Amino acid sequence: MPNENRMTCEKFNRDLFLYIDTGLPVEQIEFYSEHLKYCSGCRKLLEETEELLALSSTALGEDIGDAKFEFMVSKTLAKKQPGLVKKFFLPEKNKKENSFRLGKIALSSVLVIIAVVVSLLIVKPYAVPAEITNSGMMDWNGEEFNLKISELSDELNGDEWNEEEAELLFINERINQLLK
Amino acid sequence: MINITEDNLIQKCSKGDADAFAPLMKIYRQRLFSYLFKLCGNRITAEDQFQETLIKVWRAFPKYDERNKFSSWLFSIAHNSAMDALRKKNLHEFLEYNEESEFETGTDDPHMELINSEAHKIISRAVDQLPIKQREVFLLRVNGEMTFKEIAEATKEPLNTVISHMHYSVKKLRKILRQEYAE
Ligand SMILES: [Zn+2]
Repeated sequence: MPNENRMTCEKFNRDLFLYIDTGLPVEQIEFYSEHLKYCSGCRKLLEETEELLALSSTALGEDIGDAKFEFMVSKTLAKKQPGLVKKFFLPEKNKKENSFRLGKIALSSVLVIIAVVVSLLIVKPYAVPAEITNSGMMDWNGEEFNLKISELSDELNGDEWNEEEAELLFINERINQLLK
Repeated sequence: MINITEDNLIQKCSKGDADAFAPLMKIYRQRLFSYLFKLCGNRITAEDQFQETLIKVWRAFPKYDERNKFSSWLFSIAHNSAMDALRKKNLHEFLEYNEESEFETGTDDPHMELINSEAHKIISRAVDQLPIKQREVFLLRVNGEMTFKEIAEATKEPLNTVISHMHYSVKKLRKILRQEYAE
């Protein structure tokens, strides 16, 4: 079955990396494993590829050095992990991120609205703090207050007004005298 | 290759235990730095990105889902950070056509392991010549030890595309190696 074989070889070539990853269905892996037993070409391809990957992982080895690494770690740890509030709004893994975050934001908004409504119902408007009422600052009533104001304004304006009036009366008198 | 110690360190970091962070990162230090170094194309950018990755990983740790493979999560963060930086710095184009190898295996850093073997040098140079997309996939597989499915998720590319990038990379490396040894 040379044709069938060639087709399997082509398929294996295409699936090579998934075979290495074991990212194929079990029966497919078993099928290829069976094929590899008698196909030297595919076996060679697999071995060489695995060898190349292994060689590459050592070939590409670079290091940052202890001093820099430790400096970077301490710089990192100087930054705090996000607090509870921020954590709450961070996208969660394995969840529909946007809808999940929007849900959280919506829930928080509803809670805030409820809190505002409740506070409006409970807290009395214009309530005077106890320390003011107790200190005697509120020891008056409206009538007394109005009286006091009119007294004060009379006191303040009274003299001035009387002087002006007296002057007017005096001028009036002089005019009358002259007219006579 | 998660062992009990590594699992413990991961759990501690998730709970904000700063003492566990350095030992955990030490396990991945070389692989992570190698990845960034080969992807970014120079030591300075790689170091910047290494620092960025550490900060991002530490800050994201409370949200790390233990059902995910830690190394894949770590390399995905590193990958996204580095690619963002490359895009911002407009280095993408430069890297895409960077035929002249900038990568020298020598360094002033006394702690760095020098790559001595001839094959290593050839591979290292060959990887530098890969276009960015192929290099990205190849390095995530080799340094990040990620599966192709994980790479597809990290790079937001279809699985088929990722695999064809890998085919291209391996084909090119094999070709270069064969040429070098034929000479
Ligand atoms: Zn075959």
